[in-house]
Amino acid sequence: MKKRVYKELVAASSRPMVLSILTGGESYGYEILKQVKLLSGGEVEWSDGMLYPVLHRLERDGMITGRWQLTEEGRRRKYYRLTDRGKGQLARDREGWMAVHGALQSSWGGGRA
Amino acid sequence: MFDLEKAVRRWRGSLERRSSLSPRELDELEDHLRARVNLELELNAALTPARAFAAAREELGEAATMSSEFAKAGKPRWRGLLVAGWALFGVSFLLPALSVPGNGLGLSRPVGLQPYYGYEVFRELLLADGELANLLAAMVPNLAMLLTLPSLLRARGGQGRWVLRTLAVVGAVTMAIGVLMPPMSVSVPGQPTFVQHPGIGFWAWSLSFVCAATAIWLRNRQWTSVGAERSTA
Repeated sequence: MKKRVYKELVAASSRPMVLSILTGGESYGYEILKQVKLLSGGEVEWSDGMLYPVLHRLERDGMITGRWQLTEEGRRRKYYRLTDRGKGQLARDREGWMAVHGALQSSWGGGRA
Repeated sequence: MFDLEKAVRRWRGSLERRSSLSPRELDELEDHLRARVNLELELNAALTPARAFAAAREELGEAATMSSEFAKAGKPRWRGLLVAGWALFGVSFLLPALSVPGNGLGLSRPVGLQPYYGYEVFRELLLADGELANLLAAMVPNLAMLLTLPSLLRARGGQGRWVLRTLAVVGAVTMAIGVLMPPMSVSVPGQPTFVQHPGIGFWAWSLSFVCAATAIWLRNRQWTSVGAERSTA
C-alpha cells in the first residue's frame, strides 16, 4: 500500500513540524523523532538519517539553537531550542499551511473528500 | 559475545572514513544510535543486543546517503567567511596599499605622492637587499594565508592551531599598525610635504587575516569532537 503521507509532503512539512515540537521546550534528535511519530499517529514517518540534516539546516538559519549537555548516563547529547526567529517562522508557516488546508477543505466540499 | 561498545566504535570509525561528516555530527549520530538501541531493547526483551544494534544502524542509513543528506543542509558559516577572506586577500594586491613618494621605496618613479599597489609593496619587500625583517613581513602573513587553502578546497580535518594563531596575530598586529600609527609626514626636497596613510589595499589585506582566522576557528570547532574539546579545556 502506498503511504498516505508521501515523501514530498514529509519534506515540505519538516520545518513547521520541528519548530512546533520545540515550542513545547528544549529537545534532542531522538526525542523529536518520537514526537513526530506520536503526533501523527504513525502516519508521518521520518527516517532517522533525514532528521539531523533538517535540524542542522534550521540551526544554520537561526531558527533553532543547539547546546551540548551531559546525560544522566554521562553521554553527550545535543539539545535544541526555538529562537525568536524560529517562532516568527513558525507563525508564518502556520498561516501558510492553514491557508492551503482551508483552500483544499473548501474545494473538497467542507471536508467530504 | 557481542560487545556493544566495540560495535559502536567500529560503526563510527567506518563512518569517519567513508563519509564527509564532521566529528560533531558523528557525536550526535552516535548518541542517536545508542538511544535507538536502548529503546529497541526496552521494547522487545527477546531481542539480542546484536540485533538491536543492527536494526538501529540500518535505520540511520548508509554513510553515502547520510553525507549527501548532511551536504544538503548547506554550507557551514565558516566557509562563507573563508571565501570572503580569500577574496579580500586577492583583491588587496591590486589595490593601493600605500601612498609614498616616488623614491620612498627605492623605486625609479617620478617624485610625488603616488599609490603603491599591494603587489608592488610585496615585490619591494621581497627584493629589499638582505633585509630579513622585510622578508619576514612579506612572507609570514601570506604563507599563513596560503596554509588555509586546503580548508578552502574542502580538505577533511581541522587546521593546525599555530596557523590559526599566526593568522589571528597577523590580523590584530596589522590592524593595530593601521589604526595606531600616526600619519607619517614625508618630505621630499623641492616638493610639498606629503602625509602618508595606509591605503585601502592595506585594510583589505589586514581584514582578510581576521576573516580567515575567524573562519578557521569556527571550522576547527566543527572538526573537534565535543568530548575532545572538554578534555583539552
